Amino acid sequence: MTAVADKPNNARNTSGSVMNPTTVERVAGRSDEMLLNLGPQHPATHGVLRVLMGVDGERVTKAIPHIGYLHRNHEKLEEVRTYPMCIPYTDRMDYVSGMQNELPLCLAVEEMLGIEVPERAKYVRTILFELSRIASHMVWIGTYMLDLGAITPFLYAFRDREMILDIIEETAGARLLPNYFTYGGVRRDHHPRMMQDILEFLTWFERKLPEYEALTIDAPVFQARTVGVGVLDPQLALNHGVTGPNLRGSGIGWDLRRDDPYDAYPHLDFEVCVEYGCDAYSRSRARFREFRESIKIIRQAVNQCPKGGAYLPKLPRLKPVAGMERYRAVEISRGHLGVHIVADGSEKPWRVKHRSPSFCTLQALADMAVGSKFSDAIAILGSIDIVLGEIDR
Amino acid sequence: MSQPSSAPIAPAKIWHIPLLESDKIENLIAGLKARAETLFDTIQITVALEDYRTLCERLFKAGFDFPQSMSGTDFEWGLGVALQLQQLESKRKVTVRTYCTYQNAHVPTVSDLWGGVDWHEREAYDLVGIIFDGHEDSINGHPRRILLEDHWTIHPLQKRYNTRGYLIHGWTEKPFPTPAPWEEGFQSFSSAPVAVAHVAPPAPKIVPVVAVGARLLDPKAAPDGLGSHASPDPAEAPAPKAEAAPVVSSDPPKKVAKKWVPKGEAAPIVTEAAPEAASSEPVPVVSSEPAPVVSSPEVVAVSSPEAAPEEKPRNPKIKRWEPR
Repeated sequence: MTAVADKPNNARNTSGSVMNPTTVERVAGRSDEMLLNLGPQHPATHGVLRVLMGVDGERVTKAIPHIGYLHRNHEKLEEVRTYPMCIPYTDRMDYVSGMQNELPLCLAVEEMLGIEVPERAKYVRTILFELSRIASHMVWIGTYMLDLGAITPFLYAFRDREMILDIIEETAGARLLPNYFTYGGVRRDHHPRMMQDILEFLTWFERKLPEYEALTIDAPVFQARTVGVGVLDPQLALNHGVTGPNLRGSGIGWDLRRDDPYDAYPHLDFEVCVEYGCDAYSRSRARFREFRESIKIIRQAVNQCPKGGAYLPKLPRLKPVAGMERYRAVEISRGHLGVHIVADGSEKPWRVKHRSPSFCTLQALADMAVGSKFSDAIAILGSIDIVLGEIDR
Repeated sequence: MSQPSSAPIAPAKIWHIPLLESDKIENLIAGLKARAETLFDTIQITVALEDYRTLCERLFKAGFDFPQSMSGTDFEWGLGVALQLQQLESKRKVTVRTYCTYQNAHVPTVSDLWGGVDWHEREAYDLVGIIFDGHEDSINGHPRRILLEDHWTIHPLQKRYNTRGYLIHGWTEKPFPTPAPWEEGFQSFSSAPVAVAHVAPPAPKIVPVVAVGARLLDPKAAPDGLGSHASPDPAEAPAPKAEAAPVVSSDPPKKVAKKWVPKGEAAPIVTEAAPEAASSEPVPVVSSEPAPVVSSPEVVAVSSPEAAPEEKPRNPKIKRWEPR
């Protein structure tokens, strides 16, 4: 408050009222500093994120994220619902790759109850999990390029993502919020043409991948905008709980698909994509390399997929023992998505906590953005690939 | 397409690094009020609140460098913190559990050790109400709210609030469990007695004033709540009930009569009991001389053979309703 009064020309918004006393006080530091609200309605924030930025000329001096604009408190709602009713809520967290969000809840409850999932269900889950990863990274390509000022890749990415969404819709019945994975497998067996469609899509997508790379990570303009921008120290990234391609772009090969395998991943051969540049370019490059790994994984899984049932026709009662707890995390396209369940012996969970990857990654934004140019801050914010529905939950 | 199931499946890869001998869990919790147990692939350490910070510092020095998650839980006898940590080299997982009471919901912060716990602690304060002492981003000693606005006063994930954020009527706090969490035999969801026992009020004695037919007064024939109030014991039937008869006749309780008479069946019974009085309504029956006030089972026994509706031949013009 006092800091605002000292510098009326800088820390005043148009309505004349003080924005947020607690935050303004900690931002205002130097006399040349100006406060800028990036968001909540800003196309570069990928949702409703407000970043209070202190700017000294063109340099960013402070970057304080304010979240919670999309808070729906799924965790409270899941406490008053039974375990099967919790699954659709997880779709709404990371709506870009909704199918991936259902898996940790399913895995945790299956392990608490000792349910053995059929082999075929594991492969179907893995295939769709990786397809969702491709779709999610496509959205990242499009929106990140829009942030950097390129419009064409957005159109290309959404054109090809539509094919994945068609496959998911044909199989699960919904495009974005499929509600397909369930305890003991998947909700119903997949469409008979799904495997064929997927293989056709992969053939198409493999042809298009060099085109994407030429438009983005191989383009000189893209490299000029991202190389050396937003350097994230590996030790700091690990300490801040940064996961996924952001951590692997900082040189730490930590991938739960390999290090804490689930479903069919222990049977598949793939590579963990690590880049050592620690900057926005490395993070982008790690995502592009994941495209090829996902293609490899899906090809193997489709070839190895056994016959049989894709779900358990008869489940035990979904009532874990009172006092049992389980934390289970999987590697979704943004990092570790974990769920912590506390069971009280009834058919409703006592407590469900979702550990979302972007929530933890956003903590490291200030470490990356402070000291860079303001236009680079947009490039940094896009490179960590956040989804606000998952941050605010 | 999918191959036949006879296709060979590659053997599962196993990444296994042996545990470091120097950083055994037994050595880490030595001298603390704590106990360790294996829960799936993690080791869960339940520690007393005063040793929580010490244990976390030891774990940090032992190389647990990755904070997976932290969550707060309301157990209705207190609040709990679960901190999931992992060591990248050995891939060991550890869950640190500690508990505090509602009255003293202060837990020392560990966000200076692991920066990733920072927002999780703010969220645990915001939603569950656990105050992390020494948190860097604090206002008046409380962590700053993260998901809700600063002017919120409640912590919505506490069990005393419903999903709309209102206090649940009748919610009571349970006592702290007797085998303490860091002792053996602790159960977080044991059938702990409720602190304030809810004593049900005695059932109100309903004095039946109007007897319309014998069928309603028979406790066996009538469903629960209808005829059960007629006390079968003659000793229990008090004398003032007989005195209540003139009172009833002077002031006919219309509501009671209407409430008890089912539409289809009891109307002919009323005409049976007092055919001259019951011209339009069953209520004037009450004021008639026979005084169908039930005070004792003898009255019932006398009136029941007269009022038996089965013996009277039914009017064939009145069509009886039957279920399809």
